[in-house]
Amino acid sequence: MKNTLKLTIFLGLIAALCTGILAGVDMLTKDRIAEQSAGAETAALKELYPDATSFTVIEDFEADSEGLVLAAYQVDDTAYAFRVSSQGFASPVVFLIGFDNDGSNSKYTVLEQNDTAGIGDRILADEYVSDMSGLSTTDSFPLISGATKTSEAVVKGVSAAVEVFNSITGSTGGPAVEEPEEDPVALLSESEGEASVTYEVESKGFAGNNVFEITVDTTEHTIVSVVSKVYSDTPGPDYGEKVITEENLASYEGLVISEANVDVVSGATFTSNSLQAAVDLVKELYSERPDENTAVIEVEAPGYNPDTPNIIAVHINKETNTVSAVKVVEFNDTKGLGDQATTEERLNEYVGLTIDDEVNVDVVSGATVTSKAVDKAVVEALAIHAEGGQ
Amino acid sequence: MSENKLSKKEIFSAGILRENPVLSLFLGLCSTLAITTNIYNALGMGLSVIVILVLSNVLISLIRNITPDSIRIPVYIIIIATLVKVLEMFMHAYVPSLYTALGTFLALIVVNCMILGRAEAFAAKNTMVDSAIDGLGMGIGYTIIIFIISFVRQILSTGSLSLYNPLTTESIFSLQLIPDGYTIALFGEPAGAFLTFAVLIALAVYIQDTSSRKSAKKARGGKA
Repeated sequence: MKNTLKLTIFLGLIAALCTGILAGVDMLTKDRIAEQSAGAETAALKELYPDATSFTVIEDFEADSEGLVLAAYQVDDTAYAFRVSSQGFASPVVFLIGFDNDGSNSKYTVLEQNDTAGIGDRILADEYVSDMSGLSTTDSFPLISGATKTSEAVVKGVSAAVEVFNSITGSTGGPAVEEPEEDPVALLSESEGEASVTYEVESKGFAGNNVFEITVDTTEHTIVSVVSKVYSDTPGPDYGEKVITEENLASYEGLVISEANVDVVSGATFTSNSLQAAVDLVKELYSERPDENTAVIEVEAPGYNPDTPNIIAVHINKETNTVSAVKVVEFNDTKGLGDQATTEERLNEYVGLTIDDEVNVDVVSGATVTSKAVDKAVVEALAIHAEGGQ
Repeated sequence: MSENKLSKKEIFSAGILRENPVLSLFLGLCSTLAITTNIYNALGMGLSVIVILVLSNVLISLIRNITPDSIRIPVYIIIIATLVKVLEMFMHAYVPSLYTALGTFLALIVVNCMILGRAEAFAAKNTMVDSAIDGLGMGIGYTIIIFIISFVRQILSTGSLSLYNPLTTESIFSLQLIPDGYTIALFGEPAGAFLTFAVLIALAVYIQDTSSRKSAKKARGGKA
């Protein structure tokens, strides 16, 4: 008991002594530290506005919708500057962006970034800094090809700063940020080979559409080859072309098609995504591909306009003689009306029917003629199959 | 007892060569790998560690006879933490650029096993002067190693070598050694730190092996 007390007192004394020392040093350095941190913040602002005499922190600005703007400053009474943090490829990019009172003459400098050396860090390059300068709030801010993610983060941050700028100055309008479309992909052609099937797919990349030819082995269900047919992204070995190197394309070979995913190539994000989108489409198409047990019967389904009939493909399982899928090959009725009868949901209702069943799928109001035409086509296909013909 | 006692010179050189804290004891690796991107950071970190190590060794050695054995570790930790915090505050106030460059690793000197390791292994058992010398030797040994790693990494990753005055941020010297386009950015990343460090360890082991083989040969030759 006595010993414990002794230990406690000893430790308490040491701790009290150390606390005292810390308090003393804190008093000595407190003012200087406060001065230093304020100095560090204005030092960067001073670089943007070397002639300005005062930088006033705007305390109660209205935050932007994403909360990217960390601080706002009034520079003399001629301009506004904003400290913005926006998520880049690997970590947030922190930068300053300033505009004159009338929204013109942008100034930009990066305070902090940790994206891939040699790629993302090109947002620091003089070339980009000068591209980002002298613009007004209504201009569109530039992206860097090959450093899309990082420069997109900057552009997104600029939009946030403009939002705050507008709320402070009461002006409207913002930069015309071009929203990239969501990976549009389309199948160009499909050709059957011996134990393989080849799809030619067009997929949107960074600049234009790229075309890839993807061949799948139909017995092993693996990718045989990926070939780049048309490449329209940024030329040069540092950007999108990294994706279509033989080495990278070869990394897809042998992958089971249903699980084919390959890492995004840093510095070529958009082109990588365009290839992946093409592979995803093939994945989907291939999974819907009829196997040996399926008979595919294409039937005409004359709908609203008998001269241009719709063409319906009915997949029938040879063992159970049931419908396994119904697909539209060609649609010639009125868009927005007749196609209510060929939605995926409605077509799925045919699945499982046999020749003996009464085909009785709901008729869609407003698409009566097309609904009935599809009904008739399925019955016809089942009849053809029962006769063993095509 | 007097026979086992090491001379002052031996205590000092132990930290630099024989018992180098980084290369043979593998202490303080966290900061060794993290801050060695350029020689400026390495020198700053090295100096900080020397100061902390000498002061903590001296203080701990001073109170070694009155410190109760059962609570010695918490006492050491409090002392080391206080010293680091004091250094951190002074650095923040007077050399802010170094303070930002070292970041968390400055505060993490508290848990740098090298400091507590020397307190426990040496300062708690030896006189104040010997402890100060031990701290200085170990600190210099640590500094030499992180300087070598940062030297290699800075040259390979940026192609140039530069140093600036922490108080005025004026450049002291700046040399371009490798032309642009031939640098290896990897060495600026953590992986580059591991590579450099691994090669350095291999080199140290090789040198130790050859020198011990030589002395063994000498000893045999002398007897024959």
